[in-house]
Amino acid sequence: MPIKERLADSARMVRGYLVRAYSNFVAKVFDVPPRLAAFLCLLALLAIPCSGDKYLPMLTYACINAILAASWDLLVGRTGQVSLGHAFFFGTGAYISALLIQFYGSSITIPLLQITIPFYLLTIPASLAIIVVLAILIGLPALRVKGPYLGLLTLCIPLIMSNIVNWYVLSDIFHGLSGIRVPYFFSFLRGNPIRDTVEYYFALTVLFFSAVIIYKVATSKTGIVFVSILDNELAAKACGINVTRYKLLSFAISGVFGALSGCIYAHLILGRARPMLFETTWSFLPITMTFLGGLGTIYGPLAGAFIYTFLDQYVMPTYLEPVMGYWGLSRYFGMLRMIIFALLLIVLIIKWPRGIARTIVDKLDDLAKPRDIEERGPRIWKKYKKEQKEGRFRKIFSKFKKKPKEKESEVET
Amino acid sequence: MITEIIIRGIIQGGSLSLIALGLTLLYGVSRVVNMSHGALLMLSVYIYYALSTPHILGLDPWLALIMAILVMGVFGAIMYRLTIHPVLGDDVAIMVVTITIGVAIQSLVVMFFGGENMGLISPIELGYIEILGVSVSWISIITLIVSLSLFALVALFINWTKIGKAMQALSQDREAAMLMGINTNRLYVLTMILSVVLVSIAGFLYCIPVKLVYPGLWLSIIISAFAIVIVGGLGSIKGSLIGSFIIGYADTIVRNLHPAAGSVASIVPLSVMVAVLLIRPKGLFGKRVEMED
Repeated sequence: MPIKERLADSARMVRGYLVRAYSNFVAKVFDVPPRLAAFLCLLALLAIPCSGDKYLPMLTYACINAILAASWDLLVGRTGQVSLGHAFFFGTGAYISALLIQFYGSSITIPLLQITIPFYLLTIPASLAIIVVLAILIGLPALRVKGPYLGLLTLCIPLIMSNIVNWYVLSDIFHGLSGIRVPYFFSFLRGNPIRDTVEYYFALTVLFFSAVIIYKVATSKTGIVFVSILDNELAAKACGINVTRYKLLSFAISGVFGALSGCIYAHLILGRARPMLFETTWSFLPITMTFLGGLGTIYGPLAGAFIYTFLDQYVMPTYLEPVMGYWGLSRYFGMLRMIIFALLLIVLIIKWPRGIARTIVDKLDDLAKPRDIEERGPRIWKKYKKEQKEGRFRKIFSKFKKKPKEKESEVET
Repeated sequence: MITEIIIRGIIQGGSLSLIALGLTLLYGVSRVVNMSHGALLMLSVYIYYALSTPHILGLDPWLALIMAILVMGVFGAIMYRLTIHPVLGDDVAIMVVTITIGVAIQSLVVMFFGGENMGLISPIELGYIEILGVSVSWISIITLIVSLSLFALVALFINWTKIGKAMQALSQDREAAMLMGINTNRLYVLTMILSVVLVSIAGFLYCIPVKLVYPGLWLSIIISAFAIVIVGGLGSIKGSLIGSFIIGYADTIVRNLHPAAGSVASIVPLSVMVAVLLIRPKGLFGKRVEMED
């Protein structure tokens, strides 16, 4: 019975794959508490559309913000190159895609296969590729300067862009304030109630893959070099690292993901590439989110983006606006929102510079550290509760006691 | 044409130089890049507006000027102690905190005064004077004289008084200055107050001649101020004086050369700044790149 054997063989193979995948999952995700938490968050985000889609556009927006914040964090939190002008990548990405669509039409027919596809499938990768070139061109001179100089320089670049885009001489190309119209991603679902859900899942998928790529980059050898530049540039140079090359690399990767979020924002939410994308707000948004979540982690900006968007789009309009409307102050609402966020950011930076997500991740990392077998597990915990308690007290008291010197010498030898 | 460019450039540079002076002083002494500098300028002009406009408080314009400067000094000291002092030494945090303060001040101003342009009352009304065939208002000549003399005063203050020398010591080495018995914290606050007072005077000299103030002012101010300071080198008073004239002339030349320049003229200071940074990464008169960094 060759067929049966073959079937059994393939079944064994599939089972082997599944077992390997499962053990891989357990080893790489389940046993690492921060990753487990991230995985649970991802599951929760995947399940959200089942509970009713009133706030789905808000979550889509949060996903886009999260990509932007994560890309900013890679440049600033990992490599230490202060960028106050991430709006440059955000806006330029959207504008390149829009310009290509403006010049070549919104759909394109592939010559050999005779299939017509929407052009944005090609313009977005093209705009990302152009962004890499632009980031290197701008980065080469910009990364020569350091610290505050770099921050101010990057603050100015999006302003230059916004002035160029608004210039009336070039209004035939950029169409001034109203901007260039771009096709929506899911315009074929117009009027369909499923559209919000599809858009949300699309944004979440893009966020997931960008986050994974940024995480991989940040934890790879390259990422360690980035952190070495952040810690001490001179020492990194002394170790034979080509600092400029790695700075440019960080600039380019960060720019690509910034541009990606800009493209998605233009194609998914705005429907236009407008000079508004170069506004300073888009440079501060990732900063606020990253400081909210925690600088220098991948979890920080993502969590920060969701928390910020939740506060900004849900809590403020639902709780603050009615109160202000009651007092007849609703026209001040937008301004008060800005002031509240500004105060929140200042207090966070001064009092809690580590951010929310980073504190939680540190706690979780602490859980993952190897301990004595007695400390693990609920059953053993019950059994040894008493001893553990004593142990804890002993730990506390041991702070007041001087350690005997012999033990230290033992450890050394 | 050329005489017009020369004269207008001097006036433009003079009015810009005072804005940059406070910024460069603060950076030189305490290494604080104050991104809310433009917002402080705007706030001082709005306080003057609130104090002097007849239907709000209606004080005498000169009294309003002095009171606005006093209020701004107190505000600057409080702002420094509450927000900047706790994060001193961290470049990113200082920049983010100060620019957030700028955004907050802008929102506050829009909340109280609305987003429209506001007309100001001028304490003095003066005519125009013809210099080499170019008509120049007296008030801009006064602006030029006041800013140059304030530059001279600050330079004298830094070089001749005891506090000024302490500031120099602080800018060179903080710990050594502390060891010499200088109360560094008090000196930081003093520098901040000085910087804020200078920027409020600059704000009056910038806004009262055109009799106009609006909430978007702070961003345009901060851009030209930083362009100047970076061209001259952060922390160098001489550099900021020269940088302001470079930027002023570049701006005037572009505005006069072609009428189509329009909004693109405002990127001229930025382009000059980028060009200077490419040649000298620390500005014209900035210190050399230190090896510890």
